[in-house]
Amino acid sequence: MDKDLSRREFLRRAGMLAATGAAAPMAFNLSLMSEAAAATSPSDYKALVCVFLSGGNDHQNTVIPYDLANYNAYAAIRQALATPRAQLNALPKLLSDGRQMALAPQLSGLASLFAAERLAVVANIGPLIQPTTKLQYQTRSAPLPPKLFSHNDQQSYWMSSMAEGADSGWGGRAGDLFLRGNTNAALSCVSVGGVGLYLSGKEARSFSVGVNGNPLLLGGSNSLFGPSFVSELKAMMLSNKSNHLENEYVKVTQRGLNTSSQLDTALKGAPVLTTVFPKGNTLADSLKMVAKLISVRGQLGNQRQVFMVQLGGFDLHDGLVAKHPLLLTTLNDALMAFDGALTELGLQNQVTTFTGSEFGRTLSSNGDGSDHGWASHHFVMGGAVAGGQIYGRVPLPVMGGSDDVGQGRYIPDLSVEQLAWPLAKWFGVPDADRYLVLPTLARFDENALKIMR
Amino acid sequence: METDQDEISISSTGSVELAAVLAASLALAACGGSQDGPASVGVAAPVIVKPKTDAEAARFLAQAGFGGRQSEINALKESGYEAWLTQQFNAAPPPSRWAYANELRNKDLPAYQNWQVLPNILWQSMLTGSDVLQQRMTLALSEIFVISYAGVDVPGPLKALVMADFMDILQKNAFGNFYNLLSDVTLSLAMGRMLGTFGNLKEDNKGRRPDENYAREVMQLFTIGLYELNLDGSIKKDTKGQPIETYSLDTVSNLARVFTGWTAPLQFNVPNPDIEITRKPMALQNAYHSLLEKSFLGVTIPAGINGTESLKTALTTLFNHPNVGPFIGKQLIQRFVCSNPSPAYIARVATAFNGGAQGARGDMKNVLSAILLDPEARQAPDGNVFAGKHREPMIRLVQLIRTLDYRSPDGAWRLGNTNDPAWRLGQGPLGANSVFNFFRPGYAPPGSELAKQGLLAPEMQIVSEITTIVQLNYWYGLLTAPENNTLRTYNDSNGASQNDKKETGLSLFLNEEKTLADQPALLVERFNLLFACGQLSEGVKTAIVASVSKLAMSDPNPVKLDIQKQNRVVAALLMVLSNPEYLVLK
Repeated sequence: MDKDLSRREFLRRAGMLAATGAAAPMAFNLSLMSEAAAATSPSDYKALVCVFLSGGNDHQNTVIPYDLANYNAYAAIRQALATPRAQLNALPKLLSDGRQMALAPQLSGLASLFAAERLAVVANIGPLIQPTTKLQYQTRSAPLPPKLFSHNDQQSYWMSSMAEGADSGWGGRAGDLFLRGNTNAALSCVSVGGVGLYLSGKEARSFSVGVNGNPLLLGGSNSLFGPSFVSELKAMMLSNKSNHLENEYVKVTQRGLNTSSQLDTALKGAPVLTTVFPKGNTLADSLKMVAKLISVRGQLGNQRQVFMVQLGGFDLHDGLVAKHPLLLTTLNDALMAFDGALTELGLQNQVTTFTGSEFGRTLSSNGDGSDHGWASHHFVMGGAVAGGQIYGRVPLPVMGGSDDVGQGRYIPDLSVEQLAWPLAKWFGVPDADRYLVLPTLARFDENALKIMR
Repeated sequence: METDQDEISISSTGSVELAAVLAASLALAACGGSQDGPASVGVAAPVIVKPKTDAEAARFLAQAGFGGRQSEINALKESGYEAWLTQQFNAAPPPSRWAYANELRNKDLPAYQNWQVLPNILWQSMLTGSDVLQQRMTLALSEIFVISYAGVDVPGPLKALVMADFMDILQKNAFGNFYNLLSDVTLSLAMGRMLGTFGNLKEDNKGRRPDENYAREVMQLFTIGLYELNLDGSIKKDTKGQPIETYSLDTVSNLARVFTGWTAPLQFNVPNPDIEITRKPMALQNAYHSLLEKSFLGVTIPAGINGTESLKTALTTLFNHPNVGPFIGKQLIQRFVCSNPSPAYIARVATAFNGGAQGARGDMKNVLSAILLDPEARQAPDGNVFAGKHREPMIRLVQLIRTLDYRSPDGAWRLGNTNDPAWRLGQGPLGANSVFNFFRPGYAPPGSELAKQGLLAPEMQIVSEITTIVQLNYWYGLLTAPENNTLRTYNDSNGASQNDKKETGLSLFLNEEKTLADQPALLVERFNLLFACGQLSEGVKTAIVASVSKLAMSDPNPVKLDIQKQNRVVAALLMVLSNPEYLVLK
């Protein structure tokens, strides 16, 4: 029932927005969205931050069995890939069946956040079209996400519930509902080195900001040619075209140029953060810019923002033992600094950060690495998170079990939508609008994950 | 035609005949036009032999090369397309990038340690030769068979050699046969490190199994793709209307066994490594090759077959798969001509790939001729609002340097690493972040009218709110102070950073252009032709002329007057280079 209402409501709104057409090139003629905005015009600030681990994180070496029996089973299967038990950060809370888990040695900061109940682990989650069993997988009697195990397609599916070629992501669709609450609607969905698809909604568009902010065209003024030349140059770059390939370029240029001076001024006036972000850590560089943007939210007039950052290099078919710990150190240090900066800003309860990745990896070893898997484990961080828990079911470390589709690739128990919904709900997406953001949510137990306080 | 040979030799094909056959027998559909239906036979189109206008010639040179100067436009108008292609197909290969890298390493070791050396080697090759089609094809292939700085896991001092050699390998096969290309890529050290074939071990009895990386990506990205295709690139459907997957997890696991046992005695951490190894293919170590049965794509290699035989069977199977023609053909059309070729155009290029009466299967000369001489490529896409492709940033940079009178005093063409989108181009030769290239062939900007129409714009994946501004600023720097953006930096014996920009930075001479500074309309028309192949609209040209005319050009001091003339030239260039009507090659 809700679903049908939402669909009708969505079509109605989409129709009205479409009617604004090319006459509103910025596409933010939001008075027409007043009805949706009535439910979604907040007075406080909240942000959702997606940290995407690109390449497929080896979750088997991220969240690791700790009790002796299961650690030994893990180590026997992983052979040379196994992380020594003595180095692990054991998690205090046991699983319901008595098993104990640990975080990788490099994740000591995240382990302390877990202990402080400000970080949760979501186990065995990944792209699904509907709950799926191994028999259904083997007989192809349930619909499967298209192009499983393919990087680009599963990245796309994680972000949008569609393979490559998708036209909107759930971060952007959540952002759609809050465009009116943001004075600077163009900065509702911001990518700092992230992927545009996740942040693109029906109306919202991903906006890219560099780790040092965005430059001004010709430095903002130009002594060689004078101010009138620069404004004429801008006008030419901003002018709409009939060829659609040209016009797509124009639209991106419009967003960049129309926002650049305001963004520049705001960032130059940003408060200096005393939290130290680690140097030589690209993820920390990105999250530092996210923290800076959040710190000038008032100046930019933003009340709800979706951010995405990315850390690459996880596709470790080779050199896993040498390289994966470095990536986890990067992740740990960047997230800890970000959490520190948010605490400094007094926003630790208003910003929720979570990890994503196209897939987990095989439990079995190929000698010095692991191969593409399906389900993975992920982190959700922030003061609003009901932390100190592992949500979902952690598969036993066995090969060929009831959820292994080959070489230790696990079928997810939870779909990405089941994580997205509590995050979106906390963000402020009304129950009635949940299918606008997550069209396939109703196929799953919608409230399986009670991860937010 | 099937093949089981190690190397395929190709008899040259008369491309005149090919073009005539294509034009006479196949339908016309404008690039970016109809999306539906299979290739059909329609009204015969006249063979387009020669460009009638400068603009037509410039458009061809922009598709097939890096644009052209007036002299090159004149030459093409004189010779016609066929002769131009023949001349390009017969062009001598450029000097080896590997040899140049090694020469630099021997004479300038400090510079060699600097990461800028590899991009410069690749830029230099593209900027200096007249072999533009060979260079463009090499670059196009480097965006299908993708390696990356991070992925080619070789220590810094050897990485430039290994990656330069990979570009040599692509160039060697640019006009050769696809089978040889696939084979050379597969056994190259660079791809071996990139996708894990190097040192890939057979299974053991404790549960270890072969690395699946190359087996998966060679199918998904280099040969057949994920779904079975018709000749025209459309996806085949099963009886339930569902796409048919080309391979399964099982296929990957089996094919992975083929790519075990291959390695090279690459010395990572010795002071004087054997440099020759960096340009030799990997060799088989039988003890590490899986002898299990290998069953994939309808072929079974029985247990006990050695690595060399297994590899030949695997590559032959992939090469002969019916998907290769449309899968690779469409991507090459996207790299040269347009983002949304009609199904009929794809079918014509795939037919050329498949060979038969006109030549061997996989003959890349035939494929290139089919792409560039096709009526859909040659006819102006007048009025088609989905026509064309975004020009890639790195190709725009090469066009800028080649079209204007840039000079490199030390011959090193130090454009450096241009990969950072927040500083330069977000692109550079061999500069992708992963095997998925800078952008995906199936990318459509989310929420765009293109996406709604089911149309693609791959290059838009690297266009953002930053890049549109950054790139204009970068052109400004290269036009007004190129020596500051292209110099050699190094640490002296005290460890202090030094540069010698006068000797090593690029310089730009705008003498010819400055003679037109007092005639802005002619100046703009010149850049419209040389950069935008005549595709700027009247409105845009008028606006640029008006802006440029406002810039003062009356200083009595001749030195200052010369600067004023130069300002007009640079102003006109900036307005052309940032204009969407230039940025999309129709």
